[in-house]
Amino acid sequence: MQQWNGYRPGTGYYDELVDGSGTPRPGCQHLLEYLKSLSVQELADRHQAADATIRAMGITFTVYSDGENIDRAWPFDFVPRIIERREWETIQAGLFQRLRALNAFIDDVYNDQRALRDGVVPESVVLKSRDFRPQCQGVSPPHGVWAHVCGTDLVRDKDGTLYVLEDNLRVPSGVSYMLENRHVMKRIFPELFEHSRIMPVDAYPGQLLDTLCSLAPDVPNPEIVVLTPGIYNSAYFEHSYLAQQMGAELVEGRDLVVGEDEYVYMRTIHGLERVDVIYRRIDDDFLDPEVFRPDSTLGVPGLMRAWRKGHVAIANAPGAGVADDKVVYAHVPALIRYFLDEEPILPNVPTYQCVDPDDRAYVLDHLAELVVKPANESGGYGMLIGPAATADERSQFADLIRANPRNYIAQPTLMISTCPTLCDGELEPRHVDLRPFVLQGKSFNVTTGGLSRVALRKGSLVVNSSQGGGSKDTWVVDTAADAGPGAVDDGTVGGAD
Amino acid sequence: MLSRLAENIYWLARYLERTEDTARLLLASAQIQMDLPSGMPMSWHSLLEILGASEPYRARHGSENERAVMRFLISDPAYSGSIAASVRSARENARVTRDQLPREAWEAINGLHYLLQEQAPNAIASRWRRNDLLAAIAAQCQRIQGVLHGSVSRGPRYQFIALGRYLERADMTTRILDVRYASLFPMDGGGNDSYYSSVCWISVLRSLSAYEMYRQDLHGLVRGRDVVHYLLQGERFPRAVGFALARIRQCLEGLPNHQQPAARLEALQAVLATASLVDLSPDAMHEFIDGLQQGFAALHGDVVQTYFRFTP
Repeated sequence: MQQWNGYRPGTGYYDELVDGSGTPRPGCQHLLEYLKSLSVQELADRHQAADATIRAMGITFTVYSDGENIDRAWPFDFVPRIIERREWETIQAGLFQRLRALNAFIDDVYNDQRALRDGVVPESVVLKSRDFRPQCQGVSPPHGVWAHVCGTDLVRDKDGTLYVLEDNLRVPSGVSYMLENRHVMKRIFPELFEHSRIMPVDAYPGQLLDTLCSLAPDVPNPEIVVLTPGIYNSAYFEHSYLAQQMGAELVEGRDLVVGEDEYVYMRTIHGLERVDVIYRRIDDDFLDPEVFRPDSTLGVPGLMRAWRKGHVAIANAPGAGVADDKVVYAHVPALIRYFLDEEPILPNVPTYQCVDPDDRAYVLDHLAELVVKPANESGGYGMLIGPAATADERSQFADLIRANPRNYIAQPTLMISTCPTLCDGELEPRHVDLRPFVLQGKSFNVTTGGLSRVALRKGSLVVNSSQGGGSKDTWVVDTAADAGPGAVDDGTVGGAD
Repeated sequence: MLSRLAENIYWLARYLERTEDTARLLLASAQIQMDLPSGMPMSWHSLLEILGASEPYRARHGSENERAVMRFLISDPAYSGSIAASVRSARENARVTRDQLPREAWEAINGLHYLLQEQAPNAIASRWRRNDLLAAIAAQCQRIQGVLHGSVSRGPRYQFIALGRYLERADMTTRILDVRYASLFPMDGGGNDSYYSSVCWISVLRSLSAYEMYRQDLHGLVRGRDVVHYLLQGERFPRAVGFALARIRQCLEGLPNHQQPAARLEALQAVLATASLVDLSPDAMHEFIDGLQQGFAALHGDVVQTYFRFTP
């Protein structure tokens, strides 16, 4: 039987599972030994089993191509990414800290604007941001929280430092894939879960529901709904999945109506039923044609009136995206110090702001080394990866930057860490990022681990599923509990459901 | 239950029923053609008339020959009443209600879509392939109905499925009778005519899968007036209008705020039960059936107003 002959990480990169000499990192030994015990054929079989499971479970995302919407099977790689529980606890504290500061900032922007007056963030940067919504001024949502669900992208550089790459505060997606990835793993590698202390991930839908309930006006059984743009949205699978998991109704804009009493109702076969909390998965622009885009058919006329009156909670709150802007991102460490009087636990990637003349000059001189991103795009669109770009592409980008400096930031090209990934029957290093989902309502919660995305193409740094990315299961492993009998077991760890 | 989903489920059921009924009708028409004496040409026109397709057909085609009519009614994507268009609409309605239905139902509806896509292009021209395809379509529809019947819990979801199914079915049964009655009149005369008249009435029964049951329920020569009574006023056979209306009544009773549609239905049932349909002239029969069909349309309107598109 031909045996799979080991794994060699690329030089110059940090690998998540093995160190430079090829020795498994803490918590990874068991997995790597297990993978080694499999033959090439067995690896291929498991890979096939994973694909078949994904098809059978109907896990899809939608891509728009050739004028048609196609449901694609979710690309999944079965080698998990592993994080030690101790490291995870630090990350978790850092994520809570960051979201707490971001929410304090958003609340400040729409109310007192203290941080702007004190110059923590330049006023013009905030007030001219595409995602600043004057219509939200003077509103105080429950608990002072605007961004209830935050998808924070983390990447690890070559020295092992974990950086925050961006905060997604508008309508972050991907959490359903994190949950489904674990189900797939349990089906195809049940033996791994017997012996490892892999912390479960299933708590998320319940935590999301708790978070949403904590926003409801004072009613005994709040009606929670998930608002989707509809079946042709690329994340529709997730919308329907989360609604199902929470036992919430999945609605479209046309299902909702704002009454003369300025409460929100949904049309049911029993007549109108009041809605208390809307977990919306459509952008601000489309929420309410009375206030935002008048041509929107996805939203609900009058929704903003109901929200301003506190008759309905919207998560994330309209206007929360103002802190999602990549120029604001550069100031988050300062915001943490300003609002919380704490030192940031998780560092930012150093960021040049093209709106600043000195930074701009540096960026234009060093385009070949930098990654340039538009200030408020998501999904990996419209960015320039300097080292991989042609001279033509770079000069085009230089023109874009000069024409609209406010719209661009630049960062050094990080040597993003890798994780073994099955490519043509062999395990090869591929770049990964990590998106934990952080919840803030009355209290804080975070997914255990998060969604690990992997760039399946060799050398590629783009992990977005719309652009050839795949994903992995993410394990937070309790190595202290691995120490053997007698080790501390607080009841929250262990492999099974 | 959201009004939008209820509406999608209702239409899903209507389109599925329309698909099955159309397939059965075309199949039965092909059968009878083989039994007709050579001097008595098959009227392709009557098929178009039953399905309300004469106008759209004329707008796109010239002569009414077998192949063109069949292609139009089975696979023309541009004609909204074709089997292909009904399947497409059924699938679109199923797609948005996937989470509301058993997974098997979605898979079976997809199966119907692929059956048509893969086989229709080569099946139209050849009579036996076409008949195979029509039979397979009817069978796949039955499979879907079986899944819905066997695996959807009895609540509003199921009531809207049944409501759509029986309203569509009642409509189709009256359409078939309307056209066939006119062409088979005078009924049950003497000589050869009466023999062929009987053959044709058997075909009417066959197009509704009613022949065997009719034979079990009634005896003797198949006569027009008995068939009319059996298919309109009968409450035993599931494709009879009387049966369908009784089922619709049960559905409405399982739904909230049903006063208005229920009142409309009751009136319709009363008209049907008390009508004397023996030896009506074709005109009188047409007028009676027209009245029924207007009643179905009004009932549909009541359902839409009450459950789907009410104004708050």
